[in-house]
Formats: sequence, structure tokens, C-alpha cells
Amino acid sequence: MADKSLIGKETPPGRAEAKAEEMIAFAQAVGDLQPEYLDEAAAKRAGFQGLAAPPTFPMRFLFDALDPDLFFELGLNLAGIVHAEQEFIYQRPIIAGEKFVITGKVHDIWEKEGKSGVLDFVTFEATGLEEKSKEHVFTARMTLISKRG
Amino acid sequence: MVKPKLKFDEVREGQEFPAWERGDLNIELFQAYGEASGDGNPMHTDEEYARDLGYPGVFAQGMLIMAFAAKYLTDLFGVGAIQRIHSRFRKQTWPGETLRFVATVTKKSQEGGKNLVTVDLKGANREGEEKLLGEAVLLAD
Repeated sequence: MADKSLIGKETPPGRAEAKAEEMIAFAQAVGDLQPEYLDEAAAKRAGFQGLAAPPTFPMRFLFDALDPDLFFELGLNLAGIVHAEQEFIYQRPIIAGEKFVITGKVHDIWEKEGKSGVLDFVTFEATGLEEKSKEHVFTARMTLISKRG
Repeated sequence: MVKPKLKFDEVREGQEFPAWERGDLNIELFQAYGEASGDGNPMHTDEEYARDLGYPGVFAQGMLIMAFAAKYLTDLFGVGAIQRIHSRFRKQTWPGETLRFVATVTKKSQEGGKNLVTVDLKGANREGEEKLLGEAVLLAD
């Protein structure tokens, strides 16, 4: 079972960059073809400082930016994991070229008796602090369900 | 600077926005999303792998469905309007399904000089099976 004493525990800070070519490829793959996502001039005309990123884009860099040790420390049954919920909170959109300090932590852990056994719920939180402005631009929360093996 | 598309005064609680449908869901799309998002889980991109896990075949990444929901809201409210978006993934989405997204206004509020609209969000297939349920807070003008 997931160790509840890990609630609040943080990963060491990681780093990530919002790369224009990855943002454009992401927007095209999901079919979200806003001019502000694809064309820098259009983004600037709309008042952004550069190309804007689609709201779910941080998935592109969050996993790479975060040290996985904390995840493994939870001791979840990896074979039975389902991505159950996802949340993003924004102060403003991510702009191409911005670099972020990403910190992950265990936000919450709880369990529920399911039809086929006990389910462990874990919510991870990742925050993105823009390096230059020190602005806290986004928070992402991911809830995983793990069926005990 | 975000320029919201919708006027706060023209949005009312209980209002349902026009639905948006997304089809063309297939393994090529899941593979393209896997590559673009860095989500390398083969249960979305490799039929044999998915069947070995006991699924009838590959199914969409939940985050792809959430990206559709974000596009729907962005088309309505404008780029940068999403202040918060939360999704619960209820059921898998299979190749060949068409998803219908609909948002309903549950609350209007003003905070820190911002005009905020809260919506309930639903994504379901044509048979009405709910795939994504969520909530979002959006900026209005």
C-alpha cells in the first residue's frame, strides 16, 4: 500500500524548456490549431510575447523534468495503474522559449475499497516557476489509481 | 495578454454552449499523440501489447481526450482563457468512436479584477457513454 507519510514530500527541482517546435507538434497532433499556437506573428498580434502553448502541453516535459525516485518510493503496483484525473491551473499561458524550474510533490494519498479489492489513490502535483520572472506560471495535478496486486 | 472572446455579461448561469464533436479517432492518431506528448505507453499504440494486457485493442490516451476538451473550451473562450481545467477519465475511448463535448455554465464570479466563468464539462460517445467529466474556470471579458 502507498505510504501516507510521503504526503507533502517533494522531488528535487528539475528543469524544463517550452520548445516552440514541440509546442507546434503537440498542437498539430491533438488538432488544436489556434493561430496563437502555430504562428509566432499571430501570437504577438494577439498580445502574447511569443508562441503560446496548449493547456495540456506540460505533459511533454513534466515526466522528463521530474526525478522518478519519489514515484517508486510509493511502492504502487505498477501493473495496475490507471490515470484517473488530471488538472492544470494557470496564471497565464506558457510561452515558447520559457524555462521552468519544476518541483513535484505527493499532494495526497488515500484508499478506497473497490469491487475487486483495495484501490490506492495518489495525487502528484508539479509546479512550474518561470526562471527569469520567478513567476509561478502553472500547477499540474495527476491522480493515479493503483489496484493492489 | 489574454483577450477573452466572450463577454461576461453575455454569459448566464445554466447556459449550455453548442456541443463540438471529434471523430477520426484511430491508432495513427494515438501514435502521433504518443510521439508529440512523449507518452510512450505502448498500450495506446501497439495492438498486440494492448491485447496481451487483456484489452480488446489499443485505446486513446486520457490526455488526448483532455486536449480535445481544452480545444473545445479554447475555441469558445479564446487562447489563454483557461485558468483551471480538471478532468476525470471515466471510460476508455476506442478507435472509431466519435466524442461529443459539451460545457454548461455553473457559476459566474469576479475575483481580483477577473471575470470568471465556471463550466461543467462532459465528453461522451454517440451512445452517451461518458468518457471525460470535468470542470473548468475560464476568463471572460
